[in-house]
Amino acid sequence: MSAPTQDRGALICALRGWIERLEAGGSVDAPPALSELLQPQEQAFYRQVAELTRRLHTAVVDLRLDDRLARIAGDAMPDARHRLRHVVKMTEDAAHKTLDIVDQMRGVARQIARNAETLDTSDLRRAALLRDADVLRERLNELAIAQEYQDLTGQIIKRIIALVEDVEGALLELLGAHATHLKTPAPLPIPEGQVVLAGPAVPGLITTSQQDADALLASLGV
Amino acid sequence: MMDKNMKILVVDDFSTMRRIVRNLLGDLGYTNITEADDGKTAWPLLQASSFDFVVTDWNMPGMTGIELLRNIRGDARIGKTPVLMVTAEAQREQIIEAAQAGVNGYIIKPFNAATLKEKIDKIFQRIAEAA
Repeated sequence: MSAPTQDRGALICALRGWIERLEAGGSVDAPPALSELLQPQEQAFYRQVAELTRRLHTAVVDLRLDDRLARIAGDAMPDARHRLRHVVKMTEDAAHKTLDIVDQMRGVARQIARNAETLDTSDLRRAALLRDADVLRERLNELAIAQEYQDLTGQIIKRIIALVEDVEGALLELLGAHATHLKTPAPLPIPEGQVVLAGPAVPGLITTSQQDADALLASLGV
Repeated sequence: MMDKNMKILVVDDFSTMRRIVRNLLGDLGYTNITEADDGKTAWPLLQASSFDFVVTDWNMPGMTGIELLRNIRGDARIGKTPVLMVTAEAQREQIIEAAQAGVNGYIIKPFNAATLKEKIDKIFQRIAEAA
């Protein structure tokens, strides 16, 4: 809000007068001339606030009339959370099943090695079998460690479940009784996350490689 | 040479990851392993007996890995227990925070068996040198 040029001089003059009066120990009330000068601006400001309030009120009423939102918050979002949890559970079961089989195969690899050791050391099959058993053991390790995708994808999905839950709660709050009492300041509807951890690496997120981490740790004496 | 009978506590909220770490440790010859699903369940276990080594995730419900690490370092009896963090958190700030809290090693998921072996070897080599 800028005062028209012709008012500028008058405004400065009124302010000077006020300061002089304050310095002289006079009344702290704004001089009538100043109030008069500022009044049109105050009115414009209040008109803007009133207009914004009206638009906000209309928006909230429209929002509440839209029953699609109620359906989304009431059914679709809990359903989405349920499905995401199911995905985490399915990958968990699959990973455990794979790890079960890896355990069994490790036993087989050990048995092959034990049987090979009963062969005479001059028998060429002995060394070959021991080597094969070792390769088998290493590959099974890789297979086991590949199952860490379940942890990583699970962490990412759990973050999304928490986000959906927060948005769902905020929507229900907005659609519920609180929406009619906009006079009272509502509490922050979406709680701030308790941890600000970035979580598993995803495309577009700047992360540190193990090598960079090692260098950083070394510089810190770890 | 490290004591293959040393008592290890593996802390992670994902059962698959606990199992993977347990398997890899087993393959390295360490079989005396206990599991906990977060810092809150790990803490009484640490209090009740003496572990030689802790492998922990960071982001867990209840008590996080960094809180567990700080609690360990703040405890007179178990304060010197070596702690290896195995976590998906790969931000510089987190790595620095862990280092400042007194972590002995930091592995970023996804990781491999060779990295786990290398970090464990390094941790115990340093401890042996300091002794």
